[in-house]
Amino acid sequence: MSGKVEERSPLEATLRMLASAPEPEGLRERVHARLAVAAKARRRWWQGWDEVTWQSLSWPARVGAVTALGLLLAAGLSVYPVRVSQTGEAGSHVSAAHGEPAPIAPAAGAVGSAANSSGFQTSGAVRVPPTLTPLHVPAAPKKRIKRAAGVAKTAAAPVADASKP
Amino acid sequence: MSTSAVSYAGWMESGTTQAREQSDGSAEAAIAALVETYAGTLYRVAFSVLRNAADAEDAVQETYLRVLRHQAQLSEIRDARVWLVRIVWNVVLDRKRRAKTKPETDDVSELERVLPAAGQSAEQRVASAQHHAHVLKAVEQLPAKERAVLMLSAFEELTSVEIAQVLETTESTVRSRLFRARNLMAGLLSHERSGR
Repeated sequence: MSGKVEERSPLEATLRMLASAPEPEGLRERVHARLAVAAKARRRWWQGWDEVTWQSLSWPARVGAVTALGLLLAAGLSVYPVRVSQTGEAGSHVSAAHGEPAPIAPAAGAVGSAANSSGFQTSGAVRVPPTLTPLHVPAAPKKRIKRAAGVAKTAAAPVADASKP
Repeated sequence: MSTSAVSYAGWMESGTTQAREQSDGSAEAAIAALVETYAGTLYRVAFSVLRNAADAEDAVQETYLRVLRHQAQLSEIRDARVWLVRIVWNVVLDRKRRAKTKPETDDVSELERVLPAAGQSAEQRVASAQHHAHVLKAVEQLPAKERAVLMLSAFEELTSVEIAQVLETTESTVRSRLFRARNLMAGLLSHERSGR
């Protein structure tokens, strides 16, 4: 088989007949012609702006186009610093300046006493998640270890041993 | 070559002197050379699947248009022949899938047109075309992978290594698929012969 696929007939005869079909006359010319059209279209696309559009403009139209472009640039540059100063960062959409402070929940004791007095005083209370106003939990007092008893227990053993004969 | 050389000279001359244009022009010249060298092979590959002259020519044109679109890759191509056959093969399969029509195996006149004319009467040619159409009908019954290998194996220009490259598989897979395809074909043809 050495790189070449084996042959057999009559199947092979049919397949070979198809594989050796004569090409139509003028095939290459037609392919070249179609490629010429496609290549020209591609070039037109590439050169669309700089050669076709720009050169077809008259002088006043060119001056007008350049002026309009300049105005657009100037407008963009005039707006840019304002936006940067407002946002604090160019291109950022998140406002850096804080407005009013976040509402704070009434003190727990005050709410409790109001509820006791009239029964409906907590209806206007604003629930503020603890993430906004972090709760300050005082540190837990350290437990005192009763060391005296423990020391006594450990100290007693050697004494007992020493009393033995 | 002379007439087509004139015709493709026209589509390369219209470039300007810019660097981009020059690179485009050299790529177009390379494509023009590929047309001259491989258009016939590509046509035959396309015809073997589509079995229609106009469709096969369309497929060849589409192949070269794809090459034009990807002309930047031309310098990276090691084996242009295998690369082009792979493109035309994909184009042909796309067309077949899109059209959802089977090749015109019953169109004996199309087969008759491609038969070698030497030493055959008109009746013999018709009989021969009918025989080929019958064989091709059996080929259509093969699984797609086996059919692809069998069709490409008929091209003398393609070795089994190159067929593997076209189908993006290994040479051993090509050989095993070809073996299976031939066995299946033998079964199909003998079954039809005994059924008659």
